[in-house]
Amino acid sequence: MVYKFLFEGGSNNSYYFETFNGCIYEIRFKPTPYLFENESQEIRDNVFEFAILLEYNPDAKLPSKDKNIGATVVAVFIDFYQKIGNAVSIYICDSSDGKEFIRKRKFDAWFSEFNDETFVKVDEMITDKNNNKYPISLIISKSNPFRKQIINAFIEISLGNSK
Amino acid sequence: MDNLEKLEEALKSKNRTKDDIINYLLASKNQMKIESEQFVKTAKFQEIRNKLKALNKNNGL
Repeated sequence: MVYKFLFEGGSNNSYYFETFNGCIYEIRFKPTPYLFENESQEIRDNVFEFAILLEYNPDAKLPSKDKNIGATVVAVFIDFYQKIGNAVSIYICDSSDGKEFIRKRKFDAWFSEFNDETFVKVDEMITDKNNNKYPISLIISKSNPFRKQIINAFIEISLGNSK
Repeated sequence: MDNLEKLEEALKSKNRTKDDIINYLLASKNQMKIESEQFVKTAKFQEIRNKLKALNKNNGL
């Protein structure tokens, strides 16, 4: 089942939905034109950072496993890509609490289970100078006419050769 | 210019590094979390909450 969701738009293209247990999530697609600085305007103008934020939780404890959340996230992606067909989403997991790989596994599982072949998801690892590794994902529509160029640019970013 | 704006400027540089990209993305994510915590206290959030309640009422939740 997919939760009903609201598209409120704004500068972050925000979506909202509420779960059975009263948690309210926001999904953002924040425009980020500078990641693919070398690519054409058409690509740069459609690059977004994807984020899912737990805005409100009526319980002090973390929400229990709820498969509807993953189904809803993918449904939101489908809706957003119907609005902006050539959208390019970049997702880096929050690493502030050291749980980035747990989040990545959950995100991967959602896409594996609910993606109806609409999207291509490319996963990479980006490593900083201290050898810390951060999982990063690219999500584009399979029908994006620039998909090869975008995937190449994304791989270049992970290699540090983006300029 | 705040920290995120500085990091965004670094992204535009011809000599940007992987660290510039990572630092920007992580700072941006952190800013979103802060904005989210502040947003919950606003009237706009209550408005959205009410809209969601109405939406889910129709959905039989």
